[in-house]
Amino acid sequence: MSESVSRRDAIKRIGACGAAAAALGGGALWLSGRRPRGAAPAPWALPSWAVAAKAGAPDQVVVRGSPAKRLVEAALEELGGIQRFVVPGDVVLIKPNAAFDRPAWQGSTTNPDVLRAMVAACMDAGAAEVLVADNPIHVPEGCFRKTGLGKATEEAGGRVWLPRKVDFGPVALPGTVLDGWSVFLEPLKRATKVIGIAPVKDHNLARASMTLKNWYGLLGGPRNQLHQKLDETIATLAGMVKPTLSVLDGTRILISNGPTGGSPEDVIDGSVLAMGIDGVALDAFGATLLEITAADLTYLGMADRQGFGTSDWTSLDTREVTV
Amino acid sequence: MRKPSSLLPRRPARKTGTRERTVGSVILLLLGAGLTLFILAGGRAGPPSLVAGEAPVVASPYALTSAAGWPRGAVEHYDVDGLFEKINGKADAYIAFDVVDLTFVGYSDPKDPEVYVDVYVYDMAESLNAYGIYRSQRSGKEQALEVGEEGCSSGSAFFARKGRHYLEVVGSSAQATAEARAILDAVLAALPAGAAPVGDPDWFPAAGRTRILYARSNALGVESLTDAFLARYDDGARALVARLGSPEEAEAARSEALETFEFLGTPAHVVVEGAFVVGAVDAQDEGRRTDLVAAIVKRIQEAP
Amino acid sequence: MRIANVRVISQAFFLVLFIACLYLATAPRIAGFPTSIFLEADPLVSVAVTIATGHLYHVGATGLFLGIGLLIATLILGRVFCGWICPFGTLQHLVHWLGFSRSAKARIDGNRYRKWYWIKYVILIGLLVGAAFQILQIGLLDPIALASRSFTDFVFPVIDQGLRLLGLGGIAPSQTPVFAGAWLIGIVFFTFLLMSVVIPRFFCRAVCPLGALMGVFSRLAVWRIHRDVETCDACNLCLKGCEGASDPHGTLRLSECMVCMNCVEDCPCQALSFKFLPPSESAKPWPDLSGRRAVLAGVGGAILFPSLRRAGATVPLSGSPGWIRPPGSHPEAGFLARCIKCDACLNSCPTNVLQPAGLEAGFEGLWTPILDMRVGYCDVTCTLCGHVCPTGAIERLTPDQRSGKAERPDGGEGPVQIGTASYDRGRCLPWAMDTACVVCEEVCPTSPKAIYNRKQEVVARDGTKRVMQRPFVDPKLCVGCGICEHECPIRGPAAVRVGSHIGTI
Repeated sequence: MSESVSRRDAIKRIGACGAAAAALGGGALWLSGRRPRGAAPAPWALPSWAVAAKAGAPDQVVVRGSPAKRLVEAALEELGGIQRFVVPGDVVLIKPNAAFDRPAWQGSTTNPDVLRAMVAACMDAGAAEVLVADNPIHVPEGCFRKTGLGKATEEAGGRVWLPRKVDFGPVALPGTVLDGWSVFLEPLKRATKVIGIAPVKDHNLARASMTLKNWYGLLGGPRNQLHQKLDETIATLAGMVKPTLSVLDGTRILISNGPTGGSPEDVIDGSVLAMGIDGVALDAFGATLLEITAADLTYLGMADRQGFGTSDWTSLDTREVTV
Repeated sequence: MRKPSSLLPRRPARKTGTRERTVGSVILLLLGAGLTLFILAGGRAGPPSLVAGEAPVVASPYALTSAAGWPRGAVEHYDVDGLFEKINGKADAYIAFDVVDLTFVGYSDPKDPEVYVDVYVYDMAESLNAYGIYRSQRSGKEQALEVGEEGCSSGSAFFARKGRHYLEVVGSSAQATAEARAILDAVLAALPAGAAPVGDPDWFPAAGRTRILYARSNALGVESLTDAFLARYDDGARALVARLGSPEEAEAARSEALETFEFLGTPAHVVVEGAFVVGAVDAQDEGRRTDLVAAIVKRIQEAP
Repeated sequence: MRIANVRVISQAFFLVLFIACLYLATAPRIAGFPTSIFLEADPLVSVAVTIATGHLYHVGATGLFLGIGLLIATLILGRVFCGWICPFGTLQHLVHWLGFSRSAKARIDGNRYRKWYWIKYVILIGLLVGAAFQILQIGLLDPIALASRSFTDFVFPVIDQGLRLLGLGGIAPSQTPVFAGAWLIGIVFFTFLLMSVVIPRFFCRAVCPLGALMGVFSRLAVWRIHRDVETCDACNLCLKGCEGASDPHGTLRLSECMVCMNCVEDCPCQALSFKFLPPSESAKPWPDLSGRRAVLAGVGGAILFPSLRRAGATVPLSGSPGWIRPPGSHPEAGFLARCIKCDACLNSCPTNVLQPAGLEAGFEGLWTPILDMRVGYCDVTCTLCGHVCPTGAIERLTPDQRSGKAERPDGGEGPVQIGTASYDRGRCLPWAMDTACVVCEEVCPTSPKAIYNRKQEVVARDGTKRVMQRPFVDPKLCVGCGICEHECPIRGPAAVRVGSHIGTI
């Protein structure tokens, strides 16, 4: 065995050691400048998903009658057809109210027949994908199963997107109560069109829960804290989400013991559905279904003052039809 | 095989080379250098919470035990509305001086509960109010003490003012006197000083003067005489300087005072000097009153 | 100057320095002393915390950069840290030396490599894989963290009490601190120390994940022990003092060698030397760990760790933990990804409020700092715990940042709120027993006070009406310092207690 190493071997060994040391040092320098994992990502400002007005078509329609499927189809027709809102290749996100794992007849969630008809309409219009997403209060799987909303979605060709931790991120809403709040962002980022379908419900704190309050279901984080400023939050939501279309599902109306209901006496057959581009106006109309007025809903006034819509729904060109 | 060594390894006779010695010395030098750096680092400023001797304690003048280890009872607070509960009819005098809060604590001798010290600390909002209430509550006959801005004792009770606080530390009996004094000092030390100490104004001639008092309003029973200092003299004369907002207000206050004194039958001499109302009442004759007022006016004019 | 004697001096120097650092890391002794230097220069801490957080925590050019520096030194010189610096290694060395005298034969046998010394590599792999899943448990076995924790929680308080009994004053600046559950920390520490009586450096050879990490990084060392087979007469005396059990009498196990130089010293033939670039054949560069075991440890850990956490087995899953972390702490998940249980914060805490968690914060939280307001309270002007934290689990705050006067590193606004006080009205004197009290309001340190009183008229038992001052908490102002709970005169659970921060908007 030789006591001295060859020059080549020596260079190789010193080189390897030096390279490893350099790699360690360089790696450490690079890692020292990186953001720690778990640090909050940059907040995202939601874009507007609204589409341009269509000549000759109203911006709001109220349809009365039954069945639910027919109401949806008639409403879309009056507004100028689904093609006005969804073009082939769109990824449509529909946000129903799936808050509770209760059967649809209790009226605390969106009527699955309305959802089915809307998903089908979007698919017919050539949507690449129809996503149905909500961050309910009860366990999400149970909510979509027991309300029938999951089945309705799949039957019509849509896909239910259950919330996962990674789907949430902070929203940019400077100066509002929701600035930096954790929101179910991933489906919103995927979507090219957004449609909200909300039932008409009594609400013990906000008085009524309709299309604006429906966006609450996109919120994550400790949202139970927001009830301390509920009206302000709902008004902020009206400005946060600028949807393509809002649907007020009055097929069943939860008139008392809201927003959960629980007994048949709490629900009446409304046989009405309103659709439009202004959620504030739709909610103002919805108030009449609950036999209150827009003035009774503090958040409508707040949203109106901030220019997110009009609480005087009669000022809009509204078409009323019966099927 | 060699015989194994026993407890400590007996070093075989190996020669220590120059290189080994050099490396060893360098390492020892490095250790020394490291130690020096460590000690030098220790001389730098520490973490910010320790700099400038910021004592990490919560400021409270009331320790859980007194210096002699007497346990403290609960701390009681009374605001303007609640003051009557604690000191009954005396409350009005304090309210007249804008009292904000009375903090009461009691300490008692663990060996004899009959021996105790009660501490009343009145927050009077302003130093001048503390001055006023101190002077109105104290007769001036007590034993003066060099404590706070002003202090005195009477038997086992101690009184003092400091900044906007007026305090009374009352020992139950002679046995509690030493402890009351110790508590007085401790509480005074913890109370904040005022922006500037309040002392007697130098308007009133000293000859025969017994006391100087202060009134926020209603001096000598005249409603519009506000912010007023009063001096009492041993011949019964009383002199007054009230500071009004303007010469016009001072003029109006003077008229009201003269009316009131006439109605009450109080002999008085009242003049206006700038925004000040200067007066003297109850002296043995008009000459004394006029002299007193003239002397005060002269001092006011001479003041910067 | 013989090099082995220089090593002994170095070991003594660093052991004393380590203890001095712990002694100095309290207010007001700390001044500018870099008392966390051993923890920061610990490569396992640098590597594992960086893996767990994706970021190398540093304070200027120091902080965890120091550990990387030491790792680079290891690349060049091998495990010199173990033989020359490590205070826990030195303590074991010392305990073994004090243990009892042995024949040279017994010593040679005690220093032979044992097959199961590979265990430390499996431990290392497991811990690093865990770190990759943000489950940072290196603190359990890292020798510096272990020694720091054991001295802080067990050794110092015991010695402190002993000194006080002898009337010699104490170690702690004021009262002897007390730490809940310190007995377990002491048992672990002394078990490892006493094991070294039986097997020299048992912990270093078989358990130490830091040694294992350095063992892996030694393989390219350009200076190392070399045995000249021509001169060697195979007497095996080189094993007599071999600290690492690294087979200097055969093919050197480079990953085990602690560069203690005893073999060079003990060799009667001078066949052993510490040499620059010796022939490759005279050493085995890789640890004696089969690939199968390495893969099993890696894959096993990769499956086990996240499964355990997701099943709630290692950490309570509730989103709102019931325990209180020191001011400046990252939110719980981020905290657990950084805390190495060194308990430097406990050592520095002037009020003793910081306590080593038992299992209340989950297995992952074992020995991490939590606040016990009955033992102490968190002084609102103090930020020492963050100052000494080597990994930034507790971020460095200035008093102004803590009080919300300066911009906070976490981007939050207002004062740092570690919790919120609330009343147990069934135990509170003015609430339940018609007895005046309000000590809590008095001691509340915020301005304006978070605890305030409302006068309420009550009808006493005898039918008389009286006015009680009853305390309330303003959750917007309460910073959770716990002095109210600490000072509450109610025995047993206080009538006002600090729980997790109550979020209000």
